[in-house]
Amino acid sequence: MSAELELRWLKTDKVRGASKRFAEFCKEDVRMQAELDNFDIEKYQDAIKIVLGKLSDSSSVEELFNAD
Amino acid sequence: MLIKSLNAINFRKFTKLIINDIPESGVITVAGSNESGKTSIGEAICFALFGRTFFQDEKSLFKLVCWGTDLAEVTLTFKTGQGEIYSLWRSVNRKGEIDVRLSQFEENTDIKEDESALTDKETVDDAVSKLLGFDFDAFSNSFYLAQRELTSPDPQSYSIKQMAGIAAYSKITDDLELSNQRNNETIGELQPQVDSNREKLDEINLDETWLPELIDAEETLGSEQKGREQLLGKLNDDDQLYVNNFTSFNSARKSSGLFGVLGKLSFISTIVLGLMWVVNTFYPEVLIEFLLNNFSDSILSSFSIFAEKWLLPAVIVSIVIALLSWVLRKKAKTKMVSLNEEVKDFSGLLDTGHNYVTTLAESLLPERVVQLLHQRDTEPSTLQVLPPREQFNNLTRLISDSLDYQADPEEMSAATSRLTEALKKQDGEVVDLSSKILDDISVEKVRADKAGNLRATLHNLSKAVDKCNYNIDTQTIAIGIMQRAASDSIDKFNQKISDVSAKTLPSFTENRYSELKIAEDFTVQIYSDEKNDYMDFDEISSGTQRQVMLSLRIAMSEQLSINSGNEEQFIFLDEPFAFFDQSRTRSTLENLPKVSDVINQIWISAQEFPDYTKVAKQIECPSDQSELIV
Repeated sequence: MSAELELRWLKTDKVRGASKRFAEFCKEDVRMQAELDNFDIEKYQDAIKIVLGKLSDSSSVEELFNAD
Repeated sequence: MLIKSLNAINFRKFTKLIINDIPESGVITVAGSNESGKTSIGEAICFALFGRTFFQDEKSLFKLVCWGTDLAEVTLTFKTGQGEIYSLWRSVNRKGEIDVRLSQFEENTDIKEDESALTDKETVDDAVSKLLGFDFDAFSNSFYLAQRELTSPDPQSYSIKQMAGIAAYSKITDDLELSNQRNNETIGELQPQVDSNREKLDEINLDETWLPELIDAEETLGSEQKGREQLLGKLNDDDQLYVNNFTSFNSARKSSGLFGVLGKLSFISTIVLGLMWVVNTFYPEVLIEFLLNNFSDSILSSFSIFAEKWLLPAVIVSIVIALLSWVLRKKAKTKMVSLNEEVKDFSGLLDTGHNYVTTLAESLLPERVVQLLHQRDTEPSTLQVLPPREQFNNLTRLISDSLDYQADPEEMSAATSRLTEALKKQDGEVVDLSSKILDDISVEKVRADKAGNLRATLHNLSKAVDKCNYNIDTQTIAIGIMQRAASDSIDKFNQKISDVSAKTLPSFTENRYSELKIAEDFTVQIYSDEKNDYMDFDEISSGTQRQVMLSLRIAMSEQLSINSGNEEQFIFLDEPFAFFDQSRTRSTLENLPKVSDVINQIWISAQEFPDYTKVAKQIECPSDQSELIV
């Protein structure tokens, strides 16, 4: 498996809750998706970042307390 | 999430409710007779967290205010799954108006950071939702078991999604689908603009190489024109040069010839006279003997007189004449050289002019420019037609002859005039052509600018469309990943529910049932050890059904805790044993603290508990007092 498909940038130990579960799932899912035709690793990674960003937004309380 | 303390004023039957030092794990019993306020404690927790209770929604909250008072207040201090401690205060008055404040506690201190407290209701609700990781519905379907309420949630409900840990996917999928829809709408708006700009660009049909060719042609003609103008200026200045120089040159040539002959003669005479003077002066006897032998005495006498008086002056005069002739001849030769140089320059001008008038201007221009000019001009111009060649037939010969002023001045003058006239005519036409090409350049520049603007707009539009398409692609992939992740989570969720229920069920049913199966639609089947087979839910007694549902409730609560990031969680069970017999109540109470590693703060209310029940904290609700301080 190429390093790209290992999604090394995706650190499951640095996220928690829904983000952690999603990241762990992606690490498994990418291997199966990579076998399909027209698989685009760049788009797949961007898709992961979109979801993680939204999961993070949906759970961050910090900004509510820091907002003036 | 664990409850640290619960304080209330004028809430339901309590004018004052203070529950502090709440243990983080173990069973907390809330005992009391009917209307002693057991349920009010659960409602106070629920109201503080969500601004409503199981029985009172937002419209009837005023009913929570204690009779005879105007304002009910609840303060709940809790610890989140991340170990952060928050204080949540909420009040409601008789009009149902709510105030709220959420404060964060510094770690290991009790100093409240009031300055950063959130007081806006929507902001607080949002913050609480994020801190807890679940909403009221999920809460009431799991951690909060209201009195007499023991049903399973709707499998399609948002609560189940929260429990399975896929609620966020559902919301994000909705967001992304909406975003994709907007991206498609944007593409729909942009595409006609792209097509329109592309059509306009096609209409312009700009050839990128055409403008450079025109500019090149214009520069070539400009250079040609400049050369012609310079030549004409010089020819105008020097048009009489040949005629004027012709006389001077011939005069100098004659002088040179004359003084050449004179110089030679005077040189010879100087030699003869000089020899005679030398002999007469140094060897007179030889000369006299020669004269006596060859001439008469009278000639001898005359020579003697001449030699004595004039021979030396004659020698000197002869020498002077020879020198003068040499100097004057040299001067004439110099003048001829100078005039030849001038005529050489002049003949160079004529040669250049001859080249101009005998070369087609179109041969200097790019082919397409020539074609354009041919198409445009109805009358032949210098581009296509040369002046009649016979006009310049003799010019080459004249140029050659002019180098020694051999050409006839009148013929040369006439040829120069014809050449000048032809050049002037051609120059005018070149200026006209240049001007036309400049016009073409201006038009082409306008077209190029227009095409450039269209291309820039098209580029930006295409970029925006590409971005939308990319967003749609990645967001569609994201939705696909979430669907697979959700499916995976649901499988795991159902399996976990089965596993956890299997762990609790035997203790709740005194080992009569040990296993259950949950289908995707949440229909439940229970395995009966006695019958050695699975039974449908409605085949078992209502009491057992409630025990099974309690088991399911705890399993779901555990999953919701884990999936919402709460590794420690409280649960409030309001009279869960109403349909349990003594034996199952005892068994359940004994086993409840053991059934989950996550659900470790267990609040249970009942009219009474067996004396031997192991509890972490006991709360006795007095039926005849409105204050409870524990």
